[in-house]
Amino acid sequence: MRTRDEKKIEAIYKKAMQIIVSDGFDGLSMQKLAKAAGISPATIYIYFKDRDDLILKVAVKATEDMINATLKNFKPSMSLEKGLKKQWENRAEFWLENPLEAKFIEMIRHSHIGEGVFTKVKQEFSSVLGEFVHGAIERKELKKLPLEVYWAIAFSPLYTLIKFHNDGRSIGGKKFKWNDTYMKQALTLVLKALQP
Amino acid sequence: MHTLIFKTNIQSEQALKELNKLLDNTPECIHWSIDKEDIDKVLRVKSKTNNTTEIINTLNQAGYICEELPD
Repeated sequence: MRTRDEKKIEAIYKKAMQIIVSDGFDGLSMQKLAKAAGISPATIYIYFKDRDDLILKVAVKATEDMINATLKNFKPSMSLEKGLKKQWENRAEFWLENPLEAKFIEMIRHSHIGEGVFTKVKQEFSSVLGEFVHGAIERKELKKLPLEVYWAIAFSPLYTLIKFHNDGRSIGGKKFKWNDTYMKQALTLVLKALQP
Repeated sequence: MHTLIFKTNIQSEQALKELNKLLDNTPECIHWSIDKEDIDKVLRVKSKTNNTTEIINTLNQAGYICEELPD
């Protein structure tokens, strides 16, 4: 009987992400993936029934990893200042240290499967972050804003800095490297903007 | 439950319909799917047993290629 081999599964997930990031969704085939992961196509078919099934599962796992990393040591009962700081640190760590998953998740978001993946996994994410935001509004630590406006102000500066770092360049091609001082400066201003 | 993986030449809608009938009449086959996009037209069967011979014979007798895809 065939048994589940976690190392092989890990290799399949990683190689699939690498192929999709470099060659696009259409660039992935089961045969190509098997070759890249150094396993037989039959092994891939033990775990996945076809290409679409594989892409969906890899996307769900990457998104879950991202969500778990974002919620690490975060409690929805935290104050706006503490909670947002934790969120920024967690998000920065994940997006800076997992460039492959980061690029892959971006591709998923902009693809036709994006919506399906996020509705599948984001429920806990939304409820924890929703509780945090509502608590902060009740304690009068946070202005009452439409969700999109809150999110844009709360996180866009962080993702812009991360993008500059990943590109290696900022505005006008100026060289840029991430450092925590930049993050702290931006976060201080964000908190000021969000507080009533 | 066992997962059995085969290489086939099932391609047309007609062949798929026939395969449907054949596998519906195979009691140990619980669930199956075929990846028509793949070069090997991989048939994946969730089976109560790990006996691949019966499925291979059934498909061969109906005139289709069916070989176990090695690990």
